[in-house]
Amino acid sequence: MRAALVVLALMLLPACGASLHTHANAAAVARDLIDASGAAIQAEWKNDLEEIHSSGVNVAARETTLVETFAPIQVAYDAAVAALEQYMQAIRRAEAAQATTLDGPAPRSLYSALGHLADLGEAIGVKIPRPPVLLEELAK
Amino acid sequence: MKKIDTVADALDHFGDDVAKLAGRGGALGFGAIAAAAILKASAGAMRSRGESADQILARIRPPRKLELKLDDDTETKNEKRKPSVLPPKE
Repeated sequence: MRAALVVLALMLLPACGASLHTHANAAAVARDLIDASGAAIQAEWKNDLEEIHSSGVNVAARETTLVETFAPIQVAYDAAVAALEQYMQAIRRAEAAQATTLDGPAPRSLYSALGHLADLGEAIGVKIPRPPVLLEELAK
Repeated sequence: MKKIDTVADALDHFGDDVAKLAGRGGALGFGAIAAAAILKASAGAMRSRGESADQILARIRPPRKLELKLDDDTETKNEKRKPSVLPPKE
């Protein structure tokens, strides 16, 4: 674990320079965060649905409420996935243009999308970590 | 079974295992997401030395698709629960 933390710290250092390489690593971190959050949300949905079915009380109405409760988080999740895709495209475009840094709103959009997802996760009882420090630095 | 050749592969593999705990919810789930992100980020950082940004991006798989749907069974039951349309009174 200590080795992992040291490697992570080494990875965070280049954030000062914000090379395309650093942005690409941030995209990889964001992807894993989104994917793990998706697993947690999916599991919460499954648990809630099973609870409704096992109780057998007022099933249809409670299912409707569940769908309505999770609808915003589905939207936020899809938005985070789309923001990640746009971020990756921006990095690819910059590299194709042989730029050394990344201009534009893509890192900030992804950072905002991940923050929104974490906020909504809390609302349905799924704890989702805030966006990684690396991305926060790159979004500035 | 995933092939583990390097330390980065091992970290990545361990990260996947830890991420499976994310579904447990609560503090354990939260910790699992954070730990998996650290492990996989470390693996990514190890692998990415000397690579171009494009090569790093090429390795990124799309995140899972979130499907929050009621199962077909439930939908069928709901259909059955719907009140049938009464024929118009003559």
